[in-house]
Amino acid sequence: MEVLDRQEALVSNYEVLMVLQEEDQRHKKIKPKSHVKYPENVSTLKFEALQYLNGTACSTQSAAQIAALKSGLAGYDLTKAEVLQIINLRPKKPVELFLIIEECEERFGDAEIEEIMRVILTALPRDDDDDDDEEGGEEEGDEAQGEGEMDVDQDHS
Amino acid sequence: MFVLAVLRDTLKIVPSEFTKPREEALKDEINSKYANRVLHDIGLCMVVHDLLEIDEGYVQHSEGWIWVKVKFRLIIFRPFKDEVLVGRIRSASPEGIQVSMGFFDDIVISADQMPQGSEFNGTEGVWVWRYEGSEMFMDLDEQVRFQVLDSTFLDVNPPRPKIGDVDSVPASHPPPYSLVCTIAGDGLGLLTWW
Repeated sequence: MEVLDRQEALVSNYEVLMVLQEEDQRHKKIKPKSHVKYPENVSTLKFEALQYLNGTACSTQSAAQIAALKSGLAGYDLTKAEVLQIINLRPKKPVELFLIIEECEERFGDAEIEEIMRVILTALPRDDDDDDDEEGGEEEGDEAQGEGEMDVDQDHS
Repeated sequence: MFVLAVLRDTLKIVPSEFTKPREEALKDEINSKYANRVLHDIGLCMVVHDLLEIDEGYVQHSEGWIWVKVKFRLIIFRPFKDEVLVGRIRSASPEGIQVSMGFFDDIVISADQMPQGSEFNGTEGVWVWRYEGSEMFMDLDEQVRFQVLDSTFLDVNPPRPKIGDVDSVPASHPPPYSLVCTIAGDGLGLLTWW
């Protein structure tokens, strides 16, 4: 074995989920025909990782939503890692955003934080958003603003 | 949380796999070799992402299988420093708590990385955070948000039974890859707190 690049790219949870689901489908198809047992380490990892990822925000995401979020956040000076974490964790409240964004208070004002939250809530909608909304301001997010200007850049592979 | 690593390896395709398309056979072989294993200084291997280059392959004298040189990208679980992750509390002790993400269990939050004012409740066997007069219990299996401080790799040998004692169970060995994390800070800790 030879390691050529330890870290070529960062991948989002969504992309990992897609690969795992594809593997899962493929195995379900060939399993009955094949007499070769599927290795235990692969099935254990696949099962546990699918279970974990299906419980996170990425289970309801789509490539188009992520592209929309990326273009929505393009105007803010966020690092790649910060955008990736926004996609993976899908913050619901500003307190989570402060955690993800380093030195958030110095880099962004209150108004900008609110705008970023709005971009997240419109680009990555979730069913459970309304369940425990204590922080105001989320309701206006439903206006589906900016739908037209979302250009598609799906270079996140 | 996940990264892609580029690796090259020479893999064996056994005759029973000849019926599969070559790429699928290779992916299966890579997965069975790497999945759920820790590579030192790289991270926990998940599954293969894609194949980049496949050599012709060759059959060695007196063997019935094909050796193929492949360059591929593997999905690796390797959170970066300061990354925020979500897991479940697996166990608690006076030394701290251990968190599991399902496929990865070696996440340690030591006692000094608990929120200020927390202490271990010996009778309940859980940690409690006292904040402004209220007691918040960190029950087992609760979802917890934590931040990665450091990751450690340990080059461990597989556990071996003692020499001369065939029945002895190998002692538990330290995890090859573990994450040192914190839940002290705004937004960290149980998801229900925020």
